[in-house]
Amino acid sequence: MGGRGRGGGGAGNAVRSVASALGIPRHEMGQYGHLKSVEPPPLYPNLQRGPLPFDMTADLIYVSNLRVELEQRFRESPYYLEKEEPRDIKRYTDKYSVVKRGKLQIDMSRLPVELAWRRETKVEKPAAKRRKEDVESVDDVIDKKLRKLEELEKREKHAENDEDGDEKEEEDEKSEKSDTEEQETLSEEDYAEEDNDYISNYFDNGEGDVGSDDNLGEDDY
Amino acid sequence: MSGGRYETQLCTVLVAEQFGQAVADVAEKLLKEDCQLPSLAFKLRPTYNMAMIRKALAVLINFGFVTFVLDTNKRPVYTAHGDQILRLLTVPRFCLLVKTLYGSVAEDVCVELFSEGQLTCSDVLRRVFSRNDTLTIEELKKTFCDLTQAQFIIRSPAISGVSNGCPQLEHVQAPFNMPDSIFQVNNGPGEEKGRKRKSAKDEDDGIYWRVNWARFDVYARDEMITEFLITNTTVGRKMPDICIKTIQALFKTIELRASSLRMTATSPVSMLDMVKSAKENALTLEKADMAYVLGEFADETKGLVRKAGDSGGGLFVVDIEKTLTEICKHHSESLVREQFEGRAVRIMRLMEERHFLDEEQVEKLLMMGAKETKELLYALLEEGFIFTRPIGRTNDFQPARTFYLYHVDLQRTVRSLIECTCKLLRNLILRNAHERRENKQLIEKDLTTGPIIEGIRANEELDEASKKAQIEEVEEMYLPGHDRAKLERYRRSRSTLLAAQEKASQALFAFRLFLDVSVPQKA
Repeated sequence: MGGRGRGGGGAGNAVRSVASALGIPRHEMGQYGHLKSVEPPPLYPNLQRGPLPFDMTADLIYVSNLRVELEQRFRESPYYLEKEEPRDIKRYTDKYSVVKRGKLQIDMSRLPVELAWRRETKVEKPAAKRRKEDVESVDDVIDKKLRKLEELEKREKHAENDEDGDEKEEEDEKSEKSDTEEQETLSEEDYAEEDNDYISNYFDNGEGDVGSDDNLGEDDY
Repeated sequence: MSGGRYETQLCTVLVAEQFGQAVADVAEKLLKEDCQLPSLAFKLRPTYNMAMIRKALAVLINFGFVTFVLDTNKRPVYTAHGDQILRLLTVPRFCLLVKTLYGSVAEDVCVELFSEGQLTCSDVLRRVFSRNDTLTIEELKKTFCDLTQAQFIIRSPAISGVSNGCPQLEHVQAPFNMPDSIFQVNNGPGEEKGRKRKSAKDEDDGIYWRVNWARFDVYARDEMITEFLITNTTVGRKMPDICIKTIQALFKTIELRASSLRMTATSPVSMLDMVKSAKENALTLEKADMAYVLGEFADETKGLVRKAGDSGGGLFVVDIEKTLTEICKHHSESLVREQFEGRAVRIMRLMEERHFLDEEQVEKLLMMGAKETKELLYALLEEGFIFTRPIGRTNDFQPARTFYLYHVDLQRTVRSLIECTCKLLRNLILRNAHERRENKQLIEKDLTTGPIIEGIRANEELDEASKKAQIEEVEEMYLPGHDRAKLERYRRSRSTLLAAQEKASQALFAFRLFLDVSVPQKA
């Protein structure tokens, strides 16, 4: 009891000293002590003073009318991109409510190549196209080489594991199949993200090959 | 260039208003963090497909809101510029300014440039021509040249080459000079040319022009300073016309030399030069009037306009930094007056004069009651108009032995005011969009009634009385009384909201300029 009293007294002292620093007189301290439930302030509190009216000069009226006009213009321009949302109910008035906008035409030569969203635009840029072809052909060459190497490897293995029989071979095929499946799912995912990124394509091929290599190695042991 | 939370929100809302939600979402992601296309696509993946993101980025780049550079791995990184997006707020004012200076044709040119981001000269001319064919091509071309001469239109950077699939932009040496090829293009009647040119390429293909915001900012600043000087001096109130002309003449004189947005004071301008430039710009102004007004300004404004010497009929300087400070102070004081009372403004002014003050000192100097002073001080402190500095008598800053000195820090206040203004603007825009959505049907109805009534008016077979009767009938049918009242209310609230938006954007401009110009104080 005594200890508690002293503790309470101590706390009271600290509170009192803070309160006196804040300028709260002793007899009003009780009021502050009871403010326990803190409610969030109202969303739209009543203002003590209403906003002061401002005079609408001719300039202001002109500027605001022009703003309305410009916004309307932007909403009808091809730069206004809306997400097409499938409607739950088809209405007769739908075709009237759709704003007809022109086709978005931007000078693609001023943008990075990766932003080209139409296939036709590539025809206009021979430089970019050639580069892409180059890369693809390199890709193909690598692919062919790797395939050749794989075949060679298989033939060698056949020569080594002839006596092991057909079981191993089946296993080989199975593992390879699962590998290709994996590869397919992976590439699908990647395509969902970006459909013409040849780098990821190349990366996939590498991974698939490495995987099959590993498996073959395991079979050896 | 990332601003505060509300600034980003304001930018997003602005873009959403003009370019749709898809572009706004892309802009929001870029404003938060610069990123490459794949990571941007990853952030937006479930909602938008690749083509949409590409289109949105292309739109943003076209309007100059987003720029790109190659990073160390040679892949383009996209950066959004919030300050460029905030320009959307001042577009109508720019148009008004151009209209008052160069006529409505010039305004049309600017409107075209705004609504397309950037255009080649011949495209601009063709578009303006197609909207308004009472003009001749020659006239249009002259207006365009005038605008470039006055540096209101600037050339976009040219492409110097392509590396790693990313065009390299190069600064144009003389961005305001019209290349000669433009003059060779559209000679002859415009209509035929217009059709022919669609198949063949223009001579000036690839030379793009855009609006020069830097020039506009300088102009808007000068206008703001003029307005402030007029409304806050007795001379200005007594004879506003002469004062406006005098200050305009002063700014025009410097304009020809060098005028940058960042300068803290104008260079000294002699009276003789001002008289000369007033004559050139067709401002009817007597030299005696000018001398009187400038003298009064120098006496009255406590250094905003000051006399720097006597040569050439007297040298005068406008202290831009000081004037901007005064403008910001004015804004913050009027806010204090609105939120609290006149007495709070007295406290602010006292602090500005005496810098660091104790509670008791404020009490004594202002002759106010202790309780009242304390309440006001705490309220001001809470709202961020004044700040405290704790000074401990001992090292441990024990509350009983520490006292607090109050002071004002305008820069800090202005920074928080910018956020407030951004929030205010965002709310205004959202409110306006909401009102539009609510009253969509009424607006559409009104749009359909307009042509019908016009048709009845144009019908020559009917006499006046039956015309009137028919018009009334149509109006009654499409828009009955209560709908009309509602529409009227919507219109009124829209114009109030837009006007408020305009005022707020002007204040925002003043605040931002003040932070740019003023030197950070060493506290």
